[in-house]
Amino acid sequence: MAMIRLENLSKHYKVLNRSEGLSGALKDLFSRDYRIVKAVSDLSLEVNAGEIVGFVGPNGAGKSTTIKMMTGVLKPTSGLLTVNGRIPTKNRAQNMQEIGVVFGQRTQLWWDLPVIESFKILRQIYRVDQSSYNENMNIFEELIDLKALYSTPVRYLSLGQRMLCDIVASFLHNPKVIFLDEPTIGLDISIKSRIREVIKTLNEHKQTTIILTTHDLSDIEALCKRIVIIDKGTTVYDGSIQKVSSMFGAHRTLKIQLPPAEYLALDQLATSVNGHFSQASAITMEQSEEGWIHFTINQDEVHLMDVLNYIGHHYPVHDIKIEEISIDKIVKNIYEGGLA
Amino acid sequence: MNMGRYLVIAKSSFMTRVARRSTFIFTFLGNLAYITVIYYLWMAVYEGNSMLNGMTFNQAFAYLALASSLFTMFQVYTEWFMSAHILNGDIITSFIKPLDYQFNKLFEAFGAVISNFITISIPTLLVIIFVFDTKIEVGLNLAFFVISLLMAMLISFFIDYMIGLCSFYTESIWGICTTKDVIVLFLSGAMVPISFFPEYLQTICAYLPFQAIYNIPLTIVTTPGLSLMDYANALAMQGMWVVILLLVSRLLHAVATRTITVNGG
Amino acid sequence: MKTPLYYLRIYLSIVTQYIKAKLQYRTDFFISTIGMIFTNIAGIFPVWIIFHNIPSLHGLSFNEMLFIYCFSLLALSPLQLFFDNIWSIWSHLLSGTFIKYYLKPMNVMFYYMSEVFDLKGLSQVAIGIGGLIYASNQLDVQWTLLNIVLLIVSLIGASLIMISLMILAASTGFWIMDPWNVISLVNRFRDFAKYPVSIFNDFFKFIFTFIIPIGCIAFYPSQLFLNPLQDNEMIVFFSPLIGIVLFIIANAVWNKGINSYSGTGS
Repeated sequence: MAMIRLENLSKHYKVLNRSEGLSGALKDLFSRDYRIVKAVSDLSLEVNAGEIVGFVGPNGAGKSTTIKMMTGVLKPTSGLLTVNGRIPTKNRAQNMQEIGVVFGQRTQLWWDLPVIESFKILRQIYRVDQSSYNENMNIFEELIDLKALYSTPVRYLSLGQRMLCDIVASFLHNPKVIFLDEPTIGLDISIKSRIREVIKTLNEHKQTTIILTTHDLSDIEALCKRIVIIDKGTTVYDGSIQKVSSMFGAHRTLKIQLPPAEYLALDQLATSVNGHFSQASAITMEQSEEGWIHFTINQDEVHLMDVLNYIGHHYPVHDIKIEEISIDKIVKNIYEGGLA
Repeated sequence: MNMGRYLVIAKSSFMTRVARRSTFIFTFLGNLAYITVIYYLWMAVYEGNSMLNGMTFNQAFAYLALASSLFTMFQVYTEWFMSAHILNGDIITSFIKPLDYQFNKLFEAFGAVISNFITISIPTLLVIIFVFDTKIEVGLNLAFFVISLLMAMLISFFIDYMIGLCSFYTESIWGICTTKDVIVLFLSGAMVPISFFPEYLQTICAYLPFQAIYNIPLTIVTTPGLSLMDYANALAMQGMWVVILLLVSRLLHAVATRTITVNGG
Repeated sequence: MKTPLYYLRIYLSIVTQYIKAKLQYRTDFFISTIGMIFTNIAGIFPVWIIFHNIPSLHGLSFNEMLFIYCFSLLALSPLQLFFDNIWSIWSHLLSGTFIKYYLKPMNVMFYYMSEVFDLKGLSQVAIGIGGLIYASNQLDVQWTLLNIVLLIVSLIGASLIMISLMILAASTGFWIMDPWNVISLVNRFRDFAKYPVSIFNDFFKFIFTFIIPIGCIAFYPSQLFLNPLQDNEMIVFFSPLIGIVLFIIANAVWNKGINSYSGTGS
């Protein structure tokens, strides 16, 4: 059964073309010079009950607009959208009874109140009966040491503790669907993995459908079987995370900074690297500001260490960074036929 | 002291203020509403009296309408910005800079006052003169008025500054700032001309610095036929308060900042 | 359907917890209350000074003015106590955190306003009641059962007037993002509620009665108690009606606003 269904969903904004200066501001009062921004266009998607779907895309891809439509905050311009069989913007308040939402940077708990009081108020708001409340609180207690935080006002929790509380709180009323928007943003590795564990356990236990947006691919690898990548308001990939992992899992981004005197040698560096490694397609290069150069390296073909050694040997490297491949790079690769 | 740097601070504060166009439009509209209300209120007060406490209706109205215009001019929220800085700890960075913190704030306030003067006070003044048909003496009084305004601004600033320092001791800024605003408006004559006060209150006010913010400049500009001696006395009184408050505020500043160095922020 | 009882229970549990939490910062409560008391005393200060110089103002005595002022304090208290979160709306709208209020199975305005209960406003209620009792003793106002019922009904109706105007001001934020200036402007009208509308010329009388009906907050409904009932004009009975109509309009504009506001950023 499809828990969430999007059919050719679009959201277009009208944006006023602003004119400059004081006379421009006056002109804008009367002018109707709009341009249309297509935040989401013709997006189709079906999510089954109990699934965890990773929903990713570069900034401005239309992720949050889509989430806002699915939660009933925004009304679509056209297309069909049902969540749990209902149109989210119709009877918004009632629909929220079946939905849970967590936004990474904003808490749904009461800032000044002790944690336990927030849970009690949520119980009243969602009219959760005492027995399922107790049952859920016991489950939460097993997952995180909730009792230790009971009397602490939310404002004094660390970001990680608050996020854990926010996530379990979103399960309190046994919703059918939960939207987790960047739940791991700004957190360190150890707390990230606890958060993933909690989400995974609760999903298995309650069979809740979960839509997860994140910038961190490893969140998705740990939690989802399925990933939906969107860009410019429409789907560019919808399929198994395994395929993405096997395609890009070996990709790393090597960032190298040359001292200012060597800035000019960038072209030369590119030719030299490309000449040295025969599998040229495995390495792509990009210049960034302040002398930084980004190499995206497919380690199945060329070892990052070899590239690093080679450059280190021939150029006075100032600083380096090694990162996992970013969503933006994956999207770029998909356009170039990477996942075809 | 490097004046150039402080003038840059004043200028940038001026520019930031001027950029907020909607703020002064709405403040101006609020002033208009307030002036309208006091116009009719004081018409009612003067029903059947042509003169009260040595003031005609025209003088009393000019005094109060100008007071509202001055109030919005002096309202630069020094104490609120200081509190925010002190409470979030940013104040430390200001101590590292090779600038005197108080003068830094003073020139910021100065830039904002000038911007308020141009964008709010002048339009308000034009309305007072042309719409409400209020006569303001044109003569030597205007020159003294300008000098008096400058000193009033300094006094107002030093009081705000001392209130801002309270944030070193408490987070309850709303209560403190509100109480200060009320007391200043009460005892400065901004709500009712001081000459209307009962005798004992007038005596109390005479010994407090607040009347030097509103009552002195407003009396200078609205009272016809003051002698040079009167002007000199009024300005000397203001000058005295400027010096006293400068010294007291610097002393309090030293005490308050010593507290944080001891407590480690 | 959510019944009023449902909302009342949630409100009570949020507010009791909120008060408990706030009372842990006793000095803050104390200092804010002092600020509030000063503000409320300052409101009558000019009138008190004026009456040192003249015996009556447009036919009204000092005690009558005091009665109107304290009536206005009481009529403005619900705004202060229950709707103080209006002042924070700009930061929620600019940062985008406002959409969190869409995400509970509750009325958005209720959820938003329930987050803050302004404790210091209680001192305003106390001053209002105290002053009203003093003034009615001086004026020999008879507190019959009918009068008490009339007082409560007109206070509730009158309180809706300023609440609605402030909600309308806050609602502009859904379109212009930062409604602070609009809210501050409308808030300045709060102070005018204490003045007798009779001092104005016909034009402003009309404005303050029908367009920006601040006269209906305190001046007109006070006449119910200051004059023999049958001597009054019809307008003195209208505060509850005007309050309800304005609130319906404000609520509709607010709802239109939350539908058009889409939130900035992610």
